[in-house]
Amino acid sequence: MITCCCCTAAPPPSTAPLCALHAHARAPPRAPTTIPPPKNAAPQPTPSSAFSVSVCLPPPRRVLAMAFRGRGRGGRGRGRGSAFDYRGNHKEYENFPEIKLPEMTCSKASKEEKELLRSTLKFEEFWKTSCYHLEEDVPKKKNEDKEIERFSDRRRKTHAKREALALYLKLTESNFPAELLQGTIKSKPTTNKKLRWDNDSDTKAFEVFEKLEQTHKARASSLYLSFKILILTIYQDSGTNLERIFSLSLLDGDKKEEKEGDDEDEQEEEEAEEEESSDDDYNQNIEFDDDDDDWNQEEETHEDYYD
Amino acid sequence: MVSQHGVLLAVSIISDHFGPIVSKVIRCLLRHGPLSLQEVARRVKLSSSQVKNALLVLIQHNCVQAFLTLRGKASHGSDDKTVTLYLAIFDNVLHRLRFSKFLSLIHDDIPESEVLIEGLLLNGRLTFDQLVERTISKSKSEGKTVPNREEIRKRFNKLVYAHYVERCPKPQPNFDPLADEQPTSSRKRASKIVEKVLSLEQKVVCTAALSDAERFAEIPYVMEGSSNANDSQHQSIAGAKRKHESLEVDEEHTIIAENEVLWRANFEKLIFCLKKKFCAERKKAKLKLGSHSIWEAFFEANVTDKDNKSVTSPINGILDKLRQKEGGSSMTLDQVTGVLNDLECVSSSTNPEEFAFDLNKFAETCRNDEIESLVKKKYGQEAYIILRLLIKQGCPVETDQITDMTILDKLKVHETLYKLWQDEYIDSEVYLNFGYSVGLRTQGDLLFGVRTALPPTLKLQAGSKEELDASIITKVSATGNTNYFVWRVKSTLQEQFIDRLYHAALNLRQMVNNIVELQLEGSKDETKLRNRKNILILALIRHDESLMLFHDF
Repeated sequence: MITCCCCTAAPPPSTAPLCALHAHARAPPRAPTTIPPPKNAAPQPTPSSAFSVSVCLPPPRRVLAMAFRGRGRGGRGRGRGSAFDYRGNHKEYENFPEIKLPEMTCSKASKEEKELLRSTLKFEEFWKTSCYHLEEDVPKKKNEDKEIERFSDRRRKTHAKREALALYLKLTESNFPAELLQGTIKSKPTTNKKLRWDNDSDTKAFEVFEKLEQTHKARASSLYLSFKILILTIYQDSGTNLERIFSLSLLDGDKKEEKEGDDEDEQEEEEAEEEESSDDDYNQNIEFDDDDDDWNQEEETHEDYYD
Repeated sequence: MVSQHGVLLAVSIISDHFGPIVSKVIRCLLRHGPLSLQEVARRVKLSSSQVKNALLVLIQHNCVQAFLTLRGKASHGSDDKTVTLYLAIFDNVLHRLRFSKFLSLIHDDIPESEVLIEGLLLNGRLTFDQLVERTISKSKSEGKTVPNREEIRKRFNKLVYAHYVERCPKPQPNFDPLADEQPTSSRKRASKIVEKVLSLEQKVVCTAALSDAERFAEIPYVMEGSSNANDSQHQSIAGAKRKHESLEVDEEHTIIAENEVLWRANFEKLIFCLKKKFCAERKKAKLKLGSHSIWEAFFEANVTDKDNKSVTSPINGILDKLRQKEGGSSMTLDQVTGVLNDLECVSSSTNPEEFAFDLNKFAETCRNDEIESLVKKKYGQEAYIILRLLIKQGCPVETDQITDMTILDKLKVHETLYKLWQDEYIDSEVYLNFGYSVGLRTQGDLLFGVRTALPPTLKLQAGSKEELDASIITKVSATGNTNYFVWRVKSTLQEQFIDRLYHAALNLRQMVNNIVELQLEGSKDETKLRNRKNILILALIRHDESLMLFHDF
């Protein structure tokens, strides 16, 4: 509640409804009834008040004059406002007055509550990364393929891919209304597809992928090394040709991305099928030719070379 | 219809869990009631396929129920065309806040089946096959012993027997919103006796639900071939053949039950268990020392639940459980029955061996306690006394009567009534008296006397403050007679209160999301942020009890 200096006293018998100094409306005058209004309560602004100002620190007079020049309703009461200035208690309005806070009991959690907390966090984490969390389509830019890949783009791409919704839902007539199933293509029974089910198994999956990458790197790095040596022997100038070889491999990766981009351009109704086909591509990519791997390999071979 | 902040809270939950697209769809359905697919797509301005996927996710997680209904008269007079409408189930959306509590219930009751119910809660609906696959993959990844299929089936059937899981309702039942008199399921017939007014949401859910027998039909066991051979030796050839045929049918049923039937967690039963737990703990806090063991024994002895309203336990069971507790074996039967009666566990005349405790009545008292305690904290002791008086009376009370009954200072009473009225806890009516003298012996007299004495046009109801002021000014100055103000608790008090509770929960969730964003940005004080987040989530878990008390219990 705003404690206003001019409002603590009895309201003057004027017809102006506003307290001009602080530009908040007083309650309309009440005739005496069987319920006398409470003595000490400050009148509340009625819903019909045009505006209310929360800061009540009285500005110096000259500023006041300038401040209220433009305001019609406020300016009218200007003279009256200054008349009340002399009344004592200019209480500064505090935004956050000091109050005694109640004791915080939430920091002391019982064992059951800690367990509830842990499982709540687990649930929320699961849903955020599950296939049920549908994301909005990112609008495709026309010249995406021609844009030079930036460092920030590469970081964005490394989000874990969500699994297809169709893998988890049993999309049959007996489970869902027919009109919802019209667009989606019935997925083939994917008994060989290992579903993620839970995020805990994620870390295990990534470990498997890492192992695969490492074995691939081991294989491919030896391949690249031998190829590089061959090139070096043919061409004296190693630097530019190495770069050319590596940029060629980069282009391959880009082309694969383009293909996936074309796939995504198809309508979402074919999401299930398209997800499956792109999944195969993704599986292919695991074994070789991701952008990141190329960069890493390049660094490694460079190091090997300069050793 | 759901209150404003309830809708906002539901939308915030769905947005956190399932993303922006699904949250737009659910907001549209919650605000506008049941809509068709085209209507939804038109209002949320998303593509048809996006809306379809969103609805699939919502149905999968039991937040939306579809039903077929006759379309209104089409322009070309081609009627009898049915359209599928989608209805948001607000209760189930809010239940998502409590999944961790449901899990802890099962952990206490049937710990070996905890993994199964966790799978159902996380994924909404699953077939038994999917559950088996999930359990096996989880056990492998965690390095625990992998249970075999039979073991999983046993654990699952335990859940079904206890009614913690159920078969999913029909995906698209026929529902006619106008046909109120025709009960479409056996449950509706039962509710007719009670004459409770069901909301549209409840009616649709009732229509879609399967019969109890079907809902909780366990997965049948397939008899092994070896046991067959043993049995058939003792039977005639014809009998064996018949048995073989019935076995084939059973196998088919089993295959269907395992592969095609979708199962889900039964929220009704889980909420009922939480209700029991809540009432038991709440009452325990108020008990005298000696009664604790009897109270606990009463709840432990509760075996089967007849309905959702009370807890019934047989006296023998209570005594058995009591003997196991310390100091319990020394109590006589009379002592125990005496204490039980004190605790409001009454035995009916039809069955004197069983004692029942009315949960709904207790929940109602808890609700009033909550509101009163909030009023006490906010407005002080006088406001608490006055509000309690008004709630207990249940009918309008005149100002002077309040002063007499509460033995408070008159001015203080007026002040407090004004404050409570301003914040919309109580309603007031002005009765004008044109010189009729009415004997004010009792309150009943007052109302009856005043109402019959006055011409009906003069009774004013104070809607807003301005109206009240205006009416008092004009009428008082005109007549100059005494006027009676009567006060009563606002009928929408509970709705307003629960709206505030939803608002508080929404704020807590938003604060948690803010902290999560800060964490993603990578600020310096990781532990501080994490502690703050934990405190807020804990506050929300505790606040959720109030939400359940006012909405679900």
